[in-house]
Amino acid sequence: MRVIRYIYGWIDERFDVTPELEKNVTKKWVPRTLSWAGCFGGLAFFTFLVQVFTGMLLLMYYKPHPDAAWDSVTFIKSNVTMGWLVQRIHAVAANLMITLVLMHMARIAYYKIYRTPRELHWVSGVFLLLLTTMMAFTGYLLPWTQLSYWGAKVGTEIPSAVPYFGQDIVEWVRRGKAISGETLGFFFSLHIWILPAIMSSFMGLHFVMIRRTGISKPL
Amino acid sequence: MGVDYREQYEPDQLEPFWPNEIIKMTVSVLICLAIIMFLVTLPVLLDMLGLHGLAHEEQPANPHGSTPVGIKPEWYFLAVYQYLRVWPTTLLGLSGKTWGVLSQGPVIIVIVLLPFWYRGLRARTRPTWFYRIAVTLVAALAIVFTFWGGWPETMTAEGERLAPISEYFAHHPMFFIFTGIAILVFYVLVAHERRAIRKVLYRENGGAPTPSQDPSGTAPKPLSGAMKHHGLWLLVGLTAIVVQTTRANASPPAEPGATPEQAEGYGEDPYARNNCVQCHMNLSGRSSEIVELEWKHSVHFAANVGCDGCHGGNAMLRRDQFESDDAFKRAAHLERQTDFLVTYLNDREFVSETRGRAVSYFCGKCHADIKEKHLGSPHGDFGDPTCLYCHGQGSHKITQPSPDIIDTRSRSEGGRCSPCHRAATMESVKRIKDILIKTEEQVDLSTELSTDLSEWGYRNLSLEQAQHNAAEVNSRLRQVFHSFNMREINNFATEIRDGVDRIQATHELIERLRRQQREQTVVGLAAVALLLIFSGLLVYYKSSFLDREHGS
Repeated sequence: MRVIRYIYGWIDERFDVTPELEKNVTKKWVPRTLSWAGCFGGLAFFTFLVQVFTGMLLLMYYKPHPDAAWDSVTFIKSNVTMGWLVQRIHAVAANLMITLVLMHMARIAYYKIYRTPRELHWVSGVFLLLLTTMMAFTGYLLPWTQLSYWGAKVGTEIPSAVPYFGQDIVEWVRRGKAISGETLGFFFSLHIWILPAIMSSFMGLHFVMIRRTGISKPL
Repeated sequence: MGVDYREQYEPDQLEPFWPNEIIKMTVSVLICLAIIMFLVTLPVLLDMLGLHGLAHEEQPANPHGSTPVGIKPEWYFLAVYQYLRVWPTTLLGLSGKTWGVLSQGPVIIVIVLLPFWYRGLRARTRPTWFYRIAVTLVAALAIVFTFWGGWPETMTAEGERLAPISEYFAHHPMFFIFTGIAILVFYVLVAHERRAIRKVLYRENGGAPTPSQDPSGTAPKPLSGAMKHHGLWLLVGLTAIVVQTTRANASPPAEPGATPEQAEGYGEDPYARNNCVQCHMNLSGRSSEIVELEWKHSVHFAANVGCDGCHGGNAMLRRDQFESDDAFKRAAHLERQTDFLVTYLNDREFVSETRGRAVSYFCGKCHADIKEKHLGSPHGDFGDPTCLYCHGQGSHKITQPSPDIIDTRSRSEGGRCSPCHRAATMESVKRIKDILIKTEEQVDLSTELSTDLSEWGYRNLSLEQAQHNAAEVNSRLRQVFHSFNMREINNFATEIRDGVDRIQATHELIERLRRQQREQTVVGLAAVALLLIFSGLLVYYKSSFLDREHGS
């Protein structure tokens, strides 16, 4: 205990932590209207962290190549210690994350929490919802199963209904005429770097804005 | 940067962040972890309880095949998927698909711009009845579209036909259960929150607020009515789900089809309309002996092959179609095929005139692959023994194929191979019989292992090469053994053994994996229980000590 206190004192001397800690944690007061339903957003962020962690573990064995992807996922599920567990956590938490994001959004809409001055919270939230579903869509192709392959094929075909540019959009998304190794590589990079990076920046905005305006006082 | 809530709220409307709010956050994270862990271990748990087959059957992608039937997007895309499908085929010169895709842009823009509508006075008024019902309706519509999109359908000539809900539930029970739980949890938590808001901000049950709490000055509408209203909706929804579920479980669709007895062909006499059998059965002497004592115990009887199957003749003619017995008999017997084993010599007798290799051609009418192998074998080359020597022992009692047909007894004991096979060559016969027995055992084992694997939901786990369709392998086995060529038989036996080895290796791996999964699942469930107990303790501590301390 004394050691901890000494270390804390040493840090406090240099960085002046105590006033910040008092202001934001120990002497902070929050409204009692905050209820369990207010946790949906925070829990969605928590599942995002779970996804990042398990995703890093899966990345150690996953091979983004049409000839190797399915085998590598099978290898994770059947040969790697606790591999099945990590793989299933990644799959379950993905579904839970989408559920929580939708619940969060429904609650915000129901209470009209997005009203002035929190318009941009909502806007960034809508983008986060879209990014989350894009994460789900790109991640779904990676195991290269029959379901994921045809799911991606049908899914990427949807923009073809757009007049004039439809086919161009489809080919841009697929990186070619059909779902192939190029598509897999594209989705892989989207799934593990591009989308998480964009999502993190939107989340950062989302959280900074909430810190700035505080949580909404219910009407 | 943080906000000081003491500027917006009365002191008694606040509670300390530490430890009250921290406990709430901790508990919610713990419960979230418990839910993840529970859902992860659920398939293994169900498997332990004997509910197999809920595991996903995952096959590697096959880009060269055609689109699998009944493919549906994941649940979170079902609403959008169904939205795209509800548009008519063409509308105002554009295809429905185009409308569906293009209209999503405005929908997203409306959602994004929603907050900009609620400014000024609107921002300060509480959500009206109309607004709340509208939000609920939009959410309900999304849920309805999700279920609609996931509904299993079959294409008929008239168009799409949706399966009955019982079938939907039977195929996707978890879809119903999880949606029900999610909606329930959402409503319970939101209802709890609304109670908290009423209690803290409006001093219980929607009493008139003090001016400081209501900047717009408009008195809030009593919320208890709204609560009851939503409770009612929830009740109706849940009742509907429960009713549908019980109905789906109460009356499983009756399986049309034959009883096992009928399917095997023994229950109802399949020869009732076969007039060869019906007539010869009742004739005196050899004729009825053949039917009753030989043919009825043969594999041909079980396989629905009557007299006419081999000997020709017309089994469908009836006595009442003819003036005399003789005319009937002649007509029935005349319609025969000339190269059959037995020829019709005169009014009285059928005489067998087929010998040697001709027997193979005769039986080969049906058993084509075996005929080829047999004709290439030393047996076929020599013209003896014929099919009938081994399989019928010279009678109509054609036996089930079995290694026992290879009779290795010595000549003095009446062995049927020994007339030709003496000491040295009899050793080869014995070796072939051994290989046959062992290979049959291997095939049985592989069938057993494959059944296990498919029951566990691993049917397609790298098994395509190794997995054998039992019927197919058995028929190949019979073909190859009729060559009576030691090298060919050995090659085939090795091939089978390699396949079985692969299945066995996979079986062992999966068995070990399942054992580990079960152990880890028990640990996982214990962790879930611990997380929940710990959360419960924290909540108890908060509600009985902290809340009372700071309560009004």
